[in-house]
Amino acid sequence: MSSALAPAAAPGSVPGLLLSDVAKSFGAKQAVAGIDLILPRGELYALLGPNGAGKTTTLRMIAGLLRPDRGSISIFGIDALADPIAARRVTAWLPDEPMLYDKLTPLEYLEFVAGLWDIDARVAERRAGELIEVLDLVPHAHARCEGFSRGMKQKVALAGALIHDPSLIMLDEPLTGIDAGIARQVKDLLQARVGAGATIVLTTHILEVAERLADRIGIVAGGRLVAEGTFTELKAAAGRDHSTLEDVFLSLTRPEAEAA
Amino acid sequence: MRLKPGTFLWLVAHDLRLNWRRFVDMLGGMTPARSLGLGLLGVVGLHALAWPTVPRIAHVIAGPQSTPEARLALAVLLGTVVSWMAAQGLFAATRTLYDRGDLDLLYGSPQSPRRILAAKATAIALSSLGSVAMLALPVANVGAIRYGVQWLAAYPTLLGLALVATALALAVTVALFRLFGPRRARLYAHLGGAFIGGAIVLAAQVVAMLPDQLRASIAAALEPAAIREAGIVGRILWLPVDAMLAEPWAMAALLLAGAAMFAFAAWRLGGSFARACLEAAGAPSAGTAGRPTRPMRFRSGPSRALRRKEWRLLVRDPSLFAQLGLQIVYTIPLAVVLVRSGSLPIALALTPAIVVIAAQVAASLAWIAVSGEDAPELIAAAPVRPAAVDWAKLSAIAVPVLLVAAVPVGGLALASPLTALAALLFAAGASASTALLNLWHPMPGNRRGMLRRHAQSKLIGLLEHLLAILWAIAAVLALLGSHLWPLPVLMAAVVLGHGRLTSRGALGAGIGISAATPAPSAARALE
Repeated sequence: MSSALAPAAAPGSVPGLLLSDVAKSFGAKQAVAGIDLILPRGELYALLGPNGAGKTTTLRMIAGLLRPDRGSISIFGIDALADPIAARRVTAWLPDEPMLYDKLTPLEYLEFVAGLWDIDARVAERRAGELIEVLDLVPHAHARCEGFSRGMKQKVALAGALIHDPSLIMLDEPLTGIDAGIARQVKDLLQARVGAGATIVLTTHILEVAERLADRIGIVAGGRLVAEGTFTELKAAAGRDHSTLEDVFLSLTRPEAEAA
Repeated sequence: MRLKPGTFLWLVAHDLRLNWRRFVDMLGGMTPARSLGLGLLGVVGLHALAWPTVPRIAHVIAGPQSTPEARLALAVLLGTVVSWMAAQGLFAATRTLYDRGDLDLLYGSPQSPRRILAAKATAIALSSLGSVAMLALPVANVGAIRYGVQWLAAYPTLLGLALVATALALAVTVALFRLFGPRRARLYAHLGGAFIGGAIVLAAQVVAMLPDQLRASIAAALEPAAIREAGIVGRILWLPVDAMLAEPWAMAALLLAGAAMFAFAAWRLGGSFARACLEAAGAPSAGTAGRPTRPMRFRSGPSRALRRKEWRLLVRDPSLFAQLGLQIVYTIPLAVVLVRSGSLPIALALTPAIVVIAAQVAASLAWIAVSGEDAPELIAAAPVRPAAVDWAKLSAIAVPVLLVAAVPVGGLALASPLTALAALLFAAGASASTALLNLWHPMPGNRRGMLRRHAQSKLIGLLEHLLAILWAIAAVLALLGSHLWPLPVLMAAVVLGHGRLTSRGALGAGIGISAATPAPSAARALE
């Protein structure tokens, strides 16, 4: 039985996300300089990097909002560049600013998003009810979003991202500007999705989140993936067995500063 | 000269600087030197336009020798001016409360709320004055050069009226807050602003359409002797007209009364305005209560979802209704002019007005649906083809356009079914044209700025009006039985074809993967 917390099944042998030499430039500025990435099914992957490193551009290319200059993107075996509509069907994209309509209520918003993904009305209604419940939005389900706090809006947007039961979920700074209680709810929900087989890529500036939540961490600088692995592997690679992720991050993204 | 920080004048200068920069942004963000040059060019151009106009209205500003008919015309004109300024004041005061801008910063500073409101109110009054003075003062200047200094009475008269209108606008805004609370006050303020602005336009047209006998009897009631008999109330009501006719006592009285009302409103209402500001912070609009009005049933399908979303957003946006209402009201004089010209039967004269209104409403709604989309990335990231998104949005706006056109077309059908059918067909053509133009040339913006959208692209604004007029001309020619009616339709098709060729891409295509160039929001990712 399908539920809001269980993503659609995907072939086990096929990676959840496969990026091969993906690059993107805007005029003379190279935003992403050829990234390779393989994420298996059921993994939570954190993408870290300084501002302007190319994290968001990478996610936007995977979400189908930007066409890469070169390279290929495969989402659960679907060639996202050849068949973007099929790829979008199994993908969810949550940008750092919640994509909401102030004049709609959370339930109306969920109905709209489910409609865009062409989910059967009865299934959508049930999933919406579950998500509203899990994210503690029941008292606000019929209130318009315009009076909501940022954290509330982020929860509604997250519910919208999950209503179509995506296999690949991409979140850009999902925990920025929200309080600890809501952050816990979001983290629990994401871990439940990963446990049920979804692949999640998130960017964050909160290194503690990456350290505690992610199975693997990728560090991007200057449009390239400069390091990748578990936290322990990254520490070893940085030659700092007893350091924090912040130390590792700084040593990998600002090597000249470290050398000094 | 540098003003001392924190003083009243310094606060006024701060507000005026922000208003000026908004105005310059509307012109495309020119450099100060270029905007000054353009401003000077505008001043010279407006004076040049006023030169041949002034002789036509010289009989109105004839001082004590003014005829009752002239006084009536002047009264209608000044009524329009003061209602326009009051409507502008109401919109500006509401915008100050809800859009907030720097209000939180100012109220969080050690400045007194009264001084802050007085500065804001002064800036509102000057902006309202400026919007009228830009057109009226060149006429007054040219009149002074050609006919005498009494035309310069326009200066104190307009200033006095701006002060009165702003005082009324502030009082109404605060009263709406007290009566209806922050949630409903915005709705009523927007509707009130549209009503005030539109009512006087309609009233002026009604006066113009009255039978000659009735107008003569009204004019007789406006004889100086009759006004004297009306006592103090009559004198007060006719104060602006007397001031405009350069009566020194009237000019002084109007300025004094305006200043007194303005000072009273700004001083007395400062505290109330500050309280209203605090209440308005984060207050949602009307109708946002968290209780379900009825059980919600989900519906399937992307097209249906897009249409339902557009309709929900439309009916929940009172400011949009106000703006659409204003657009419709300000189009009505076209029909009145045609009816009064006597060259066309009434049914025939109404048809082009219906076509133009439908075209304008369709253009506005298309802009809202496409460019005013609040979550373009959500739609671009959905598994829906851009063409399907566009089609769903166009079909969503067709319904309200049809509703707007239904009443006048229905009325026409009673008089002449054939004329009504023609009006409907040409209105549909005009609506589709202006909607497609907006679809092909999206100009991302906030939906509240619908009426200011042409500031983003003057060319699109001009093309929109051109398409509406071409379809209206075609409708008239067709109803007159002229074989030339396809000509303007062909011209509209050429304009539209040019629009398609220079298309910047529709909503889905502009942001989606199929676009050749990234949309503004896509480009922002790198910033």
